Amino acid sequence: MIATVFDTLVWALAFSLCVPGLGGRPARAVAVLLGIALAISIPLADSSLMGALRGLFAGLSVASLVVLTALFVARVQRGGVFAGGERVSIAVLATVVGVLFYPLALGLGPVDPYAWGYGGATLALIAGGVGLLAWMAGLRVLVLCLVLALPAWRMQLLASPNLWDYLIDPLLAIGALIALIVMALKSARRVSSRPEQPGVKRGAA
Amino acid sequence: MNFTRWLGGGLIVLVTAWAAWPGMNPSLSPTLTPGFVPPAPSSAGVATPRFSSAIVNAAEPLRVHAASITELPDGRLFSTWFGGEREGGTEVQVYAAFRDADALAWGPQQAIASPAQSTRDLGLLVRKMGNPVAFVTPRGELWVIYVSVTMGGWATSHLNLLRSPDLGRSWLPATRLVSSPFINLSTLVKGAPVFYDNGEIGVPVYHELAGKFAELLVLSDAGEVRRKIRMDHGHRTLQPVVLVQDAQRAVALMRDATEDPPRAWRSETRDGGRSWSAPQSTDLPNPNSALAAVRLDDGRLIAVANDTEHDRLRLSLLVSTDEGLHWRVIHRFEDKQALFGQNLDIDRFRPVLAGDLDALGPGPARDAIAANAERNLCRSGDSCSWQYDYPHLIRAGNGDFHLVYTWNRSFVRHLSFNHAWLDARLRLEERL
Repeated sequence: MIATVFDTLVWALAFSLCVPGLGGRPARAVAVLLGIALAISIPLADSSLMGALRGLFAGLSVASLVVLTALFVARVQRGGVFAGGERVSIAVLATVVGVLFYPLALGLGPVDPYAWGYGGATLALIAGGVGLLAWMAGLRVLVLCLVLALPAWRMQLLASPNLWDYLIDPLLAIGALIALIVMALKSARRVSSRPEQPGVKRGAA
Repeated sequence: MNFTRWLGGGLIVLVTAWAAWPGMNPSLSPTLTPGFVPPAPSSAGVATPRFSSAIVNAAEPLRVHAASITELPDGRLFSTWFGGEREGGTEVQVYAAFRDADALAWGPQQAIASPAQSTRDLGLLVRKMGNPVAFVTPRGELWVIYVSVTMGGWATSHLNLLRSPDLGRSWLPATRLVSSPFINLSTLVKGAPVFYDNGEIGVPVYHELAGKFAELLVLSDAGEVRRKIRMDHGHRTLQPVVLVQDAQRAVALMRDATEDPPRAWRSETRDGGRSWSAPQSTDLPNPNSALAAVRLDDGRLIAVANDTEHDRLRLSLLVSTDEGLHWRVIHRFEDKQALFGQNLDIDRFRPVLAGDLDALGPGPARDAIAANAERNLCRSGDSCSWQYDYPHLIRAGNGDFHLVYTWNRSFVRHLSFNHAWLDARLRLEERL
């Protein structure tokens, strides 16, 4: 039950981010969020859109919930949620972890990092340690991604017993990679469209 | 500001310590692996060789596959398989049937899992059914772990658990077993479970997405996933069968996924399944097909397998005296190997098929069996070929062996033999 509500909220947040015109309109944003949550839960044949999404993509992570919530709130408030550079930090971390973790967990080599997530202390300590570093660096959303996953895992709130499934999911990793690419392209475009300063010649040594 | 910073940091440390505490305390850790429960010595049974055959399923649906069998505490047998118009079809369901302790014929089949029921129970869309494996847990519940697919082929499978506290009279709603980090995709089941001395259950499973390798999924006696232990990596092993020797030692035999060379694989553990040796090739030919095995009281292993390099035209009983490295054939249950490479036309196929029907034992009417076999084995009426595969072998408490396998894609055949019958084959093989 908790896992179903959790997944519904995550997907509703994801779909809400695609709806235009929510900036500065918190009441409308919440209404849209709830409307989408209801719409994807409407029974269709033997299942629902939510059932199809859960069947196709399984459960999503606590980190996905935190990131999507932060993006949603930032969109509604028009900023003020992520610290400077935090979006890039989260995207880099999720991409790097995803690129390293999934191939190994799918059998690329003899080491199975997924096995570390079943109850040993190491992965939890690493997640908490990274969370502590993020806290010191002022990256509050990243802290929530990591630190909320730990009690959720300890209490086994979602369907999976494995800590990895609370920390990351393939959609988060892929989304992070796409976000990095988009941010890099935007950054490159900004640099190339910046007007030349008077008296400075491009390419001058 | 500093106070807030220290308070936040302290909170993170506290939450982390609380979450990690069971892992730091061995007595609380779910990863602490206990020892295996070795198979109990079977009773001697009768001295007269006994061998029987029966068909487990009805003539409908047309096509069946992947049967498993287990003995219930009251001596009855329970078998489960999947069936439909075609493998991977959305109409495929998981069926089951019982056989009374002293009966030869099986009772009526019933559907115990379907895409619609699974969708309802799990709260997520399920479209296809796959391999079911049945067993009785140490707590005396009858469990069926079965494969399902939402979209795609078998490489995108999930595992589900059906539990029956009253040995098959009723079933609790199915639950999903989360066993893979990548959208929980691609864990399948085939072999019989092993049991641990703390009540945990080790289910031999395998992974098919990107790589192909054997794993051991450990469940609590309440059906929660405790951990998963990889037995291999890469692209070579499927469908492990785990044969326990004692609390720490076991051998796993595995289907070959490489076909280069086509030989079954073996691996072993000496630490209660926490780690497994790198698989080594055996001398048992394996045409990328499932095998089944059990350990005898004297330590020898017997296996049922397609001991061919291509096709599944032969199903043999084999014995190994060196923990699965080398195998000798002691009996052929099915053998159409002489017809390898020959696709018979229907007129040549029918008499050969008719010759097989008498040996099948109780089950559907002879005409129905022939009709289903013909529809499943003959393409366009001018190209027919046999197939015997997916064996599942157990040893019952009275010492009898029970084997089920897919007979020509059409029926689940159940063969039962006692130790006297097996001994006769073993003695014959030793004299050769």
